[in-house]
Amino acid sequence: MAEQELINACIDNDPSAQKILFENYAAKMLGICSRYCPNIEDARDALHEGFIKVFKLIHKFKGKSTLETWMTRLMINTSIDHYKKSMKFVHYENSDDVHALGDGDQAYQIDVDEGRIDAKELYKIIEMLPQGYKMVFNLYAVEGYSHKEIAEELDISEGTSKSQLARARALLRKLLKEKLNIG
Amino acid sequence: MAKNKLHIDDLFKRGVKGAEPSLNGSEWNRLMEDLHPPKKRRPLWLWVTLPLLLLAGGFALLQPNMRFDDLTNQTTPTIENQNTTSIEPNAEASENLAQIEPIISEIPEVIAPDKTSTSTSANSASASNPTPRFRRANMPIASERPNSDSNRVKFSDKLVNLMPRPLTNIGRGIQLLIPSILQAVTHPKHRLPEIDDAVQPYYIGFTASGIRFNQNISGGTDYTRFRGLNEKAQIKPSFGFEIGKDWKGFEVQTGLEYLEKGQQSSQNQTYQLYDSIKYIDQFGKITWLPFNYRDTVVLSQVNNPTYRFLNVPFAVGKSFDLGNDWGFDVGAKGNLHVLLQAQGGGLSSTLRLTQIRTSQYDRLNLSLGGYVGIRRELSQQSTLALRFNWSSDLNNMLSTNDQKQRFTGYGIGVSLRHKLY
Repeated sequence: MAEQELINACIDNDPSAQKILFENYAAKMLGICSRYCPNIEDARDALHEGFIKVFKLIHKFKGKSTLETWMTRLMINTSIDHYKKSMKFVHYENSDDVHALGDGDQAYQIDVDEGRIDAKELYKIIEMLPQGYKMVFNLYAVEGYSHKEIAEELDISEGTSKSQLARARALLRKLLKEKLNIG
Repeated sequence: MAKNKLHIDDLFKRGVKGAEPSLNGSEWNRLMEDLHPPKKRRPLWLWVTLPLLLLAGGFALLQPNMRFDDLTNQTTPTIENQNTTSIEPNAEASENLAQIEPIISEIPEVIAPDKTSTSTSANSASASNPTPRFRRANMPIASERPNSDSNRVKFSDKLVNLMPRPLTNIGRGIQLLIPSILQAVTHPKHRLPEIDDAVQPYYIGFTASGIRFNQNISGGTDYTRFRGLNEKAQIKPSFGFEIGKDWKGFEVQTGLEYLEKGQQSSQNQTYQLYDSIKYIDQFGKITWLPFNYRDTVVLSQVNNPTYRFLNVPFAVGKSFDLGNDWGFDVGAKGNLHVLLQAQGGGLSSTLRLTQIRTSQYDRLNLSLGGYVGIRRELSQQSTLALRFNWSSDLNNMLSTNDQKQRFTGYGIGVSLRHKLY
């Protein structure tokens, strides 16, 4: 079934089309949710809620981006909603000391043999980040959001976003050294 | 092995893709349950048995066993009687009628002297008994209506005559009620005729109650106990009509009511809710989130869940006289609720704010409870009752893997009753 036919069938609330769409994208979307949720159970909840939104809002999908991009954005927003609920747990440091951590690109260049790196190990290292660091790092580094966009999404200041990113990078570099002897 | 200089962002951007956690296989089924919830079906026997029970109960209650019928049968000649013989009313009935006559004559449109009977067969009757004979002008008893009276038959009588027997009885009850009410309103109690206490009358009444419901939630998730704390009981209205009868010393009653259940969300709903979210950090440490004012502001919603029902009550009770006009009532009461609508905001088992839907809940609910109260006779036919009611659901309105929901309620109601003689 072509993607547009699949979308049309989903708009018609056809369960078989919904299942095909789910099977095509669920694993990838769970990966996205899990990068923004504190644990896998929350990620499954976000995936569930995200797909409900997908099927309820799919008639609004205009095809300006790919379906995957649209769904990814939707899953990230859903996961951010989770994050906002637990945001009270995150104590944001004052952003004044950002530069003390080193914000230059040079500071985070590492020597690495990509062929030897296990993706699952990297995933586990990201999982070890505090929730606030993880959220900002994923939005910035993986999804390509700007600090301004992150600040708007998470209701924080740009300075806080930069601070969180710098701390996340520093902690990741430390963890890479400790766990994988990379750096 | 050759090593490359790589920015840490790029390392993770490339690295995390392809390392997604695997699905556990239950996600689709869970999604399907929410997207296309299966309609719960009650067992067939329940659908067959309940209406039959209701029908049988109603039919039994409406069987004609009324004092007024007895009087009418004794005083109004049948068609055959009018054509062939003259019937002498017995002394007791004549005496009763003599007492009622002045009262009835003052309600000309509803209760009128039977001119026809006096013109067609009055000779023999009046010769033996000087008391003018009366019949209820609107009495829809087809077999008792003389042929010569046919031009006086009203449309409502014709309609009632066409009805099946149980409906005829209801129609008859309604037609008896109207003059009774007029009688009670226009005549003081002391002028009413004495009514034989041995007669066990039907009564109908209007009821109105305010019932305070508590929602009891139980289930597997930790948040439910906090949700229970989060929602305050709220007084909800109930009103309808009742019909009852004294039966072997007991008072048996049923009726039809509109009933609401629900609970009011606390002013502090969101903070209490988010106060109670279980948070597990990456090291598996469990913490309960503290109060956060931001959530209260952003997510506050005062859209209290309300459940609207049609209720068929069944009650059996006992009345005790406390002097001339006062009495004490106590009894057991069962209720069959049919859910008409569930409306309002709620939380899903995963703490998502969501709108509740009628289809999520069981349509039929049974509850059991009781009542105690006092009553006062306003007239020989009218009674005002004040009762304290309580009830508890016997089955869950909502039953999922995560939570079960049922209500207990208590409240005060009044009912104004009118006896049908």
